[in-house]
Amino acid sequence: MSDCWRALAMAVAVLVAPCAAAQVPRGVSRRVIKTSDGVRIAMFRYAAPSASAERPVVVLVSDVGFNSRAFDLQGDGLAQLLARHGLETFSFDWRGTGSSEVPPSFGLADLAERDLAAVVDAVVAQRVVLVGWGIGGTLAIAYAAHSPERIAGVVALASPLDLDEPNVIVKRWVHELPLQGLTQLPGAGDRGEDAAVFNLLYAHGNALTPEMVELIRHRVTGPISARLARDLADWMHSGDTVLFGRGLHELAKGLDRPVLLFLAPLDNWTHPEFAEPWQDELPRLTVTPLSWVDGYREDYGHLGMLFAKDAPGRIHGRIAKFADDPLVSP
Amino acid sequence: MTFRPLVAAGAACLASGCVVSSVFSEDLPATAEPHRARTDDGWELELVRYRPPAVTGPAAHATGRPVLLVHGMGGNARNLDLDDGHSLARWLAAHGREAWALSLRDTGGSDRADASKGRSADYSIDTYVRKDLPAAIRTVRQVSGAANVDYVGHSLGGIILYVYLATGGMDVGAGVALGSPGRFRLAGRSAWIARNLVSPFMRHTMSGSVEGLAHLLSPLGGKVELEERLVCNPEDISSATWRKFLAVGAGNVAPSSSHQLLDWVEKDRFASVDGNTDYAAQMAGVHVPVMVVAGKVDRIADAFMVKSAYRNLGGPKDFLMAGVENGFHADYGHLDLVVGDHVAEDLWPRIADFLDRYE
Repeated sequence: MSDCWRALAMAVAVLVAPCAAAQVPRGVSRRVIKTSDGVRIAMFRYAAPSASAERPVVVLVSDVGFNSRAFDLQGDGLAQLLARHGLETFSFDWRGTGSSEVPPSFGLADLAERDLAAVVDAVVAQRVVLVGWGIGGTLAIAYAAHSPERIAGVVALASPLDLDEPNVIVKRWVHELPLQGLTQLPGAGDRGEDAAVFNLLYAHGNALTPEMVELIRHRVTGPISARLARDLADWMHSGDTVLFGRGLHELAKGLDRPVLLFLAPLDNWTHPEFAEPWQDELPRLTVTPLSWVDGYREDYGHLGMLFAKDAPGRIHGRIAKFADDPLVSP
Repeated sequence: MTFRPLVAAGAACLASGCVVSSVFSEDLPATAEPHRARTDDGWELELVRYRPPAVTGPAAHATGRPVLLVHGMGGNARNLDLDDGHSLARWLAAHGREAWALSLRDTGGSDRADASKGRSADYSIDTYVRKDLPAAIRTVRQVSGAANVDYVGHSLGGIILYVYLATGGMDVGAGVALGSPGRFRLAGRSAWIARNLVSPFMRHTMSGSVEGLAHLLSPLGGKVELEERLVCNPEDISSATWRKFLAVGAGNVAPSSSHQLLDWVEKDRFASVDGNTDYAAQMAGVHVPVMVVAGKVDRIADAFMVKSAYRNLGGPKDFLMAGVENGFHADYGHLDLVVGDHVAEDLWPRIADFLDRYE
């Protein structure tokens, strides 16, 4: 494709992005629930024709600063794959992103203790499997450790325990954080350099096309509160964060549910070394590095785990198997 | 059944490998000064000294601390001094630092194991720490006149720095560890490969044959993707460099050393060979400044294993991921950290900056 056509395609993708973000894909039902502090959260249900009461229900938890379209960008995402597999699946937009309400300020704990808690409460099922991407997976593990009653298992895609400043880009982002109001993840804004930064942090590896990456940058990201960004920065500096009133390390030690953790070697946002220490805390953890050494065609990055061409066959199918029966699958 | 034909064929292959590998080798430049360090158990170790051009006169002195460079397992001093474009030793000298490249026992130009001369092949990684490093540091201090030395270690060379400092080793001002794990817990298929293939092979078959094997493979350098991708990022190392590395950069490994490493992997415990000293725990007491560098796509020392070392150290300390997100030309593999084609631009200035900061 010539540069001219490529630029045109990118422009069209960006222009239609806001309209598309508000639409609900065919076959998906949307509802709005209220959290314990009264924030309206948009929740999406992917019905599974072959679902049965015995099978777990899946709740997809996107990364912080990204919305539910992470699992359903063009009608062929992880959400649809799980539904086709016979698993009733839900996704939702964090407060501040997508179709959910944007409160003036909110922190990391609000996402786990209010948004995720409200979504799981709204799901009518005896067994729930949480599938979290990036920091969304960390919040899912924290929730499962705090309220394990209905949680059958957790899948975590490159989800950090020992978060750290992974590189000079994130260091600079932390340094420039506003004290209040809203902000965005590094690379998700409108500054001239943001597209390149977004590409380097999240889209490294997996040969995603520039059009695809721009589409994701515009349709899948959303604002976060400056307070939430500060929570992430504090976590990077201290090595721990408080959720459900306890430090993450201490909280996670109590989780006796199976956890399937994927590590993405080329992830420049949530590096593998932030997630690998889960092995010290979770007794029923299975770790799968998404690397060339482990039989994958290539090393995976942050977006590649969801959007790479071969992700459905290589990764999503494995998630579906785990969700089907977390006790057996690993 | 006789093994004589097999042995003969093996010897022939090895001999032909040595002949072919000599084509790719390169001698050291005239500026390289050969020295010997004598350990207190009777081994002589090869040290190659490079002095800054401005201070090579008889009365001159280098300004910064001399830097001792130590290679990884199965390597030798040439790992950090391969040729003009791939020599941290020569680069440091050109930038005003005296540099010393060490070959640990049984590698490079150092003494080889010889029971008839009292040099047993039964030495462990602990031996490098207790015997080789003190001898090398003592020699560098004596010859250079410096009170203490800086240190750059690649892979095992960095691991033995951690252990040396954690067990009270003296006279190191600041250190840099390149691709050196502080924990040896593997994940996924790597764990399976280590447990079921590498471990049995190394425990029962391999004993010190790395050098000959590398010579044998040197003509294939750059032509076997599997071999290359495991040890480096092929995008970052030219075939010519890789062949040269195989021809001159390999060294032998004693069974006891590889067994100690395997113990660390199998037991997930970074400890002395007798199991009595927990090195990982003692690293918290290290307060010599250390910079830990991890290769983003290092398949030998996964970045998360290297990060563990950084976490364990007491500090001051820095951690650097050698990847494009931090301005490197490519995501670095294990050997790229010492002989990558862009390492002089990407990494060495950062090493010098770190050492200078604690001068």
